[in-house]
Order: sequence, then structure tokens, then C-alpha cells
Amino acid sequence: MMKKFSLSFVFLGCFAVLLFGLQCTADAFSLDENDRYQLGGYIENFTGLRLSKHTYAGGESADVGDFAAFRTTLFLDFSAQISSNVKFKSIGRGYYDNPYSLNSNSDPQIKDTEHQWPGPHPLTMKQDFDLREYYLVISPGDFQFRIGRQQIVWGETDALRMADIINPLDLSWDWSFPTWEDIRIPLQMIDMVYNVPGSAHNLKFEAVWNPADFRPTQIAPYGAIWDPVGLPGFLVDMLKDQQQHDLPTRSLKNGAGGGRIKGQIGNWALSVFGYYARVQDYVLKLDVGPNTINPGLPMHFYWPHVLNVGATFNVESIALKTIFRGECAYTFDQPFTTSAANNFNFADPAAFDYDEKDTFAFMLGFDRNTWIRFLNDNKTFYISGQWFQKFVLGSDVSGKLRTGFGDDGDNRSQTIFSLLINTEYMDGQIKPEVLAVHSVTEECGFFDFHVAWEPTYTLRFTVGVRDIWGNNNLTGIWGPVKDNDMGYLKMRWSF
Amino acid sequence: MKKGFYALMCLMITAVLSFWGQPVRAGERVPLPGVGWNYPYRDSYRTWKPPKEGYDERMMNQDVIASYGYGAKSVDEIKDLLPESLYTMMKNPSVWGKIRVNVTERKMPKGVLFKRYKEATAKYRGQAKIDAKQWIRNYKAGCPFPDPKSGIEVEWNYRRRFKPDDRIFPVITVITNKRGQVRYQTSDGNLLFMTGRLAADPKPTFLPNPNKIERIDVYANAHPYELQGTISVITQFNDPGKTDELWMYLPSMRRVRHLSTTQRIDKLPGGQDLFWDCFDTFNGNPSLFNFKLLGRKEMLVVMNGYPKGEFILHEYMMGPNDYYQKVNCYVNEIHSKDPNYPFSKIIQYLDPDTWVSYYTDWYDRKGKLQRSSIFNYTLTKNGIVMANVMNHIDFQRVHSTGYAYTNARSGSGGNTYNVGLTPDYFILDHLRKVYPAR
Repeated sequence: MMKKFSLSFVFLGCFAVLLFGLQCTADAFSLDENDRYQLGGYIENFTGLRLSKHTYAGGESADVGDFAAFRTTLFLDFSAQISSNVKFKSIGRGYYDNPYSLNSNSDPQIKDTEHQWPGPHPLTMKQDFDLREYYLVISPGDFQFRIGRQQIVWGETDALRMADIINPLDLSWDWSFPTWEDIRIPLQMIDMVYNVPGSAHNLKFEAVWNPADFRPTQIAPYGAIWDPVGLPGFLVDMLKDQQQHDLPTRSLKNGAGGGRIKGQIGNWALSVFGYYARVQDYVLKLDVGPNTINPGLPMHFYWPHVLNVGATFNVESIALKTIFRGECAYTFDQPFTTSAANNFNFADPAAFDYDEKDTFAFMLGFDRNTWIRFLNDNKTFYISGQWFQKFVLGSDVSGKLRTGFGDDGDNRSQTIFSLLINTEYMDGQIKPEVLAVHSVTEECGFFDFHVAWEPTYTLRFTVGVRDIWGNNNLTGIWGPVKDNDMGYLKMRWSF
Repeated sequence: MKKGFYALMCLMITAVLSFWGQPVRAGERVPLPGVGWNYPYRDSYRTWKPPKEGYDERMMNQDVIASYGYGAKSVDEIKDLLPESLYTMMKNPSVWGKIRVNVTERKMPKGVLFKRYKEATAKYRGQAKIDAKQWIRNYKAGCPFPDPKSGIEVEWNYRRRFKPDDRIFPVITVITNKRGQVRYQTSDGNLLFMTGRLAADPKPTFLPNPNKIERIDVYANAHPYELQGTISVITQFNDPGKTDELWMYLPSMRRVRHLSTTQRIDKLPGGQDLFWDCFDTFNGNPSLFNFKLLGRKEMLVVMNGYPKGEFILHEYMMGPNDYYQKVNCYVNEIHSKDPNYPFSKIIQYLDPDTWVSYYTDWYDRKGKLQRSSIFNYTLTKNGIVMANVMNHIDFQRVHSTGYAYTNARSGSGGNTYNVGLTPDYFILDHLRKVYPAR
């Protein structure tokens, strides 16, 4: 009975989006006759069904066929061209996301639907509206300032992070799978860009300053679909309280900043960057000091500062008809939780501190449009591959630090490969895409295959399936959520 | 009374039949049913507006000598004056829709710019040369080969045709598929030429130009929302060894991506019929093709077109009821040096005075017409030759992509020419400010 009701609910939701879309196809909103003020956006329903069973640390389970997502999103994008040199932009996003109440009574409910954790002002899991971005763009001469809450994206890597480190991620509602624009947490920042006029090398200088808006990576609470912690609910509550307590305040001393120089030498587009900020993923150490909220669980969380420096390149090989791109990053003093602290080994002095090691990471990738005529005679296949490699430097690492790398999560290197292939059929109305990512060192990864049908430019239906795998130790990026295989349907009407 | 009734009936039937069956009389351009500016989005592209320069008023109400095609004289009467592509479309209105050719007298551009082009042609005559790679050298301005003797000289005349130095060019894109389903995009297609400049300083060559840039194009999408803020900057180089460079700002990624243009016949995303080699009707690298001058042929072309872009919803031709003029065109046959190139030959029809291209028909490897680019031009008040509608048509898939300009979006200046753009205008950070990119 419950299931029937749920399906009816989904059907009605989808029907509403469809109806809205068909009624309003090809309408957009320019608020004045000169397009100085524009409003655009979309309404989307994302419905996912579980394809694998998941047992939570507290013993509850979610079964195959249960809803894994039922999220309806309203996305509003407003632009105002105030003058030729001043523009205002704001993006708001509201959602209703509650697959849990649609499922049978046996599966777990989120214990705290009000808040993800951690975060200074986290969104609620069930429904919310967030003015995600609002910033002014002021352009005196060859300078450009973007001031306000915004996303700033650097680097050449897709689906993984190396130079794209300025904004933390919100992994609470769909892990790392949606467009990253949707899961980056915008921050209050000032972005200054100076393009050298008449530069033969397209020289550009950029400086970013985040005065005080520190936000860590956000993850889902216990019982949510994307709860990655793997601990019973009562323990999670204790950790969450402690973490909230330890979270750095939003003050000038917790600010961040950096710079980037971009240019072109011949066919090579190059950039170097440096960014100093607190890490977005916590480390912990055992601590029996007075500030421990739960005496039974004496620990503290930390988000220490790190300095990332790196470089990127991008070059086209005409002979191979391929774009090659790459980036590397050297991180000074990357903090790691010790294995002793992670295991609550009070007997080991190493448990009472975290360790810091330098790390080095690089990515090499290629993008190629390739004809595979027996599969598609009208459009090339876009094939994009990446090799992502990271090392924890220094001796005395393996087995002693929780790097998250390797089968046990304590190795000193990580190797990930990704492959993306897409094409278009029927005049771009049918768009299949496959993305596979595999982390060799943790034997975890995912495979996502979806087909989008766009009968008009404003209406899109996407059907997809996602398989996630990982080892029994739940290490790596996708290991903690390996039981979340999903079949999904998305419907979007944009305006 | 009864006789009177019969007489009235006969009169009415005669009147209807004479209107229905007879060709349109000379002197007028009779509207086609359904023709108009059928654009749906609620923005500044919704109404057609002339360019800032204004159009040449001679373009508006021209005296039609004769009309052919839908509801007019048989198209077979002018078969020899049309390329295979346009004749095929007009001959099959049930497939391709209503198209009519209204023949008028040709009018040459007025104003100082065309005069300067001719003066530059005379001034630099004999200086331009074509090297072993079929690339032009020592070109300054004007027509490089006013008396072309070969296909490659005709090709370079086309590439150094009479054109504005730069432009701000808002256009609507109308994509129509086999079922007559229509999709729309809007964008600004702004560009800058670095050589052969006649109006804006520096001229005739933009210096300094250390990277040997030939031209820079930007396509900034406005609608639909999924494409809004997508900005593509394409740089072409005065170097046979360099391919076009494409950098694209993608709002959903919040990042600039470098994309390859080396797959020259890969269609643009979103179902468009346009690919790299057919920009401007033909945009292949001259060093990679062989050119054979077939001679001259009198053709009906649109040089003095009706300025206002028109089209019929669910049909395939932009400018379906335009003014055509007889022009003794140069006809060039183009073959790729690549044996795997999917087109066996390309036939291009060029204006002998301005060297703009009217038609380019593309034939598949079996010699069957596969696609065509059909461009209609009109004149602005100061004599600029502007393509007011452009068609890229796929004959085998019954599919078309049409483009029509309008003076939309005053934020970027609106439709205008020779405004003094520089390469710095095309920096993506600048363009993100001009257009509503997030």
C-alpha cells in the first residue's frame, strides 16, 4: 500500500514537471527589453531507486527497490547589467528532498533531518532554499573584481580535485556525481583578475581572498543515503557534537587566499597557482583535555592550514587530433589522522596528535573527438581520459597514517583512472554518456551510464544507472558509499 | 435575377482561379503564407530590428522583374540559374516548404567602404602571392587577385573578400528537423579581422600581431538557458600549419576548456548542421584542398536581399521569399587532399565584385548532393555587405539550420560594424562580463 502511494507520489511529481515544461516550452524571462535584467533557471525532479541493499552501522537496512532519491529542485539565476562595468549576479536554489518517507517502514530514517554535519550554517536535508551565490562584478579597465559569495574554479582536472580546491564540496545529497557546480559550496570571496592588455602570451594574473568564510566538506547525517561514516548513530551524534564544537570560527584568522598566473607560450596554455587555506576534510586526535564534550570519547577535530602550489598545462596535438592537459600540485604539511587515533588506541602516544606530510599529486589527461562511424555516422564520440596520481612524501608513512589510500586506507600513494565517453544522436536530442572511474589502489570506483533525451532545448529526460564498488574496508573516495547502486530518472525543464 | 447570380458566380470563380493559378505579377513581392519573424523567447531577440547603421533603403521595396517558385512561375524556367541545392528545394515544396525567387536588378554597395576596397585592390595589385603550400603571402588589403586565373586564387579572393573589419552580430538560430520540429538558439557572433582592414584603425593590418592571428570569432549564447553564458572563442591563424583554436567557457563547469577543432566535419553540438569546414559556406584550410576554377556562370543570388530576416515555422529555408539578382559568378570546385574526406567535391559560387560566397554545395562520396550552405546578403546604409540570413541544409536527412540577424542585446552594443574591436575584447574574462555568464 505504502509503495503504491509512493509511486503515485513520484508519478504526480514527474507529471507536474512535465506539464509545466510542455506548457511553457521556449519561454525565457528577460525583465526588460534590452536584456539588462534576466531571470533563468530550471525545475528538476531527480528520482532514484536502490539497486543494492545497504545495512547501516546501527543494524537498519535499506533494500533494493527503495527510493534513493526524490529531490525536486528549483534553480533561479538572476543577472543584472547595472552598467557597462558593473554586473550583479545571484543564484538561488531550493529543494524538497525526502526519499525516506516514501520507503517502507523498515529502512532507517535520518536522525537529524535539520542539519548535515559539520558546517557553520549547513542546509537541512529535507527542504531548504539557499541564496547560493550573489556577487558583484566590477570591471575598471583591464581589472575585474568579483565580490561576494561565489564559486571559483581552477585547474584542468574533471571529477577529481587538485587545483579546484577553493570551494569545499557538499557531499550530503548525491556524493560526487552531479555537476560539481551543484555540489561546490559557494564562499564569500573577492576575486581579482588582471588581463595584461595586448599581451602576446594572453597573460593573466588572478588573486583570491577569502577573508573569513571557512566551511568544511559537508557530509550526510546518520541514516541518510550518502552517510559515509559507517558508525552507529549514537556514536555519530557524539562525533558530530564534538566536531561542531571544534569547527574553526568564521574570523579573519581562518581566512584563505592565493593567486594564479596564466599565460600561453606557443600552443601551450600554462598556469601556476598557490593557495593557502585550511583543509576541508578534518583530521582528529585523541585528547583528554578539558574541551572534550563527551568524556567517553575524548578527541578533537582539526582543520589545519596547508599551502598548495602547482601548475597546469594544456596543449593540442594537431597530428593526434587530441587535447592533452595536465596539472600537478604540491601540498605542504597535509595533515593526516594517525592510525592509532583512528583506532582509539590510547596506549599509543601517536594517537594524541595528527601528523603532517607533504604530498605531491599530478593528473595527465586527454580529450579527443573520435569518429566511430559504425556506431554514429553523424557525430564524433568525445573521449576523455585521466590518470590521477597522488603520493604522500616522506618516510615512516605506510601503516601509520590514515591516508585513505590503499586497501587498508594507510598506503602512501593513490592511483585513479577515469574515462568519459559521450556522443549525440538524432540531432542532439539523444545524448548517451558513460563515465567510469576506478581507483586502483583502493579497488573502488563507479560506473555511470545515462541517456538524456532532449525533445526541446528546454526539456530533458535522463535515465541512468550507477554502479559503485569498493573494498570491505570502505577505503578510497567511493568505498564508503559502495552500497548505493542506483537507477535514476531526471526530468528538467529550464526557462 | 438568376442570370445575374450566375454571372456573379462566374466572375468570382474567374477571379479566384486567376489569383490562384497565375504567377505573381512583376513589380511586387507578394508575401508567402506564414512568413515572419517566428521567434518565441521573451527577450530582446523577439522583434527584428535593423543594424545600427540602418539598411540601404533600396533594399526594401524593390521592383520585382519576375517571380519563380511557390505560387509563381515554374522554377524550371530558371533551373540553369540556380545551384542544384536551391533548385531541388524549390522543385519539392512538399518536402522543403514554400520558396520563391523574386528577381530584381542588382544594386552595388554605396558609401566609402566599397570604394576603399576597390582602391586597395588597385593599390596593392600584383603584390600578393600564393606559396607552395597554397597559402597567401604579402597580402595587404583589397582583392588579392582581381583577375583570377586559378581555383586557388579564387579561393583567396573569397577569403579576402569585401567585409567589415569587425562586427557585433546578434543572431537567432533556427534548427528544423525532418519532422518539422523547430528548436531555437540565440547568440552573438562577434568577430574581428586582422588583415584587409578598411575602416577601423589600425589598418590595413592590425599590428602588433605576434601570434599571426587572421580572425577571432566569439559565439556567446543567450538562449536557451542550458546554453546561456556558454562563450566560444575561435581564433584562426595566418599560418597553414596551425589549426583553429577553440576555447570555451562552460558555465556548468565554471571553467574554460580547450576543445579541438581538428575533426573538421564534426557538427556543432545541439543538432546544428554547421561544422568547422563549412563556416562562412567554406572554411577548410586552403593548404589541405585542391581548387579548380570551373569558370563563370550567370546565377540568381541574393546580394540585395530583403533586410528583415524571415522564415516559415516548420519549414527549412531562411529568407524563403527573398529578392534575387542575376550575377555572373565565379564557380570553384573544391576537393580535399584527404582520401577519407567524406565529401567528393564542393562547388562554391562567388560574387565577382565583393567575393562573398552565395552557395556552396557539398557532394557525398557517391557524388550525390548531401548538404548546402546558402547565404543571402543585403546592404547597410553605409554599404556594408551583411549576410542577413544564412542556411545550412542537409539534403539527405532533410534538416536545416538557419541563422538570421537582429539588432538585439544593447548590452553588447547591438548589431553594428567597424566599431574598433581589438583582440582584448575577446578575452574570456571580458566576455563573461559582457554576457550573462555565471
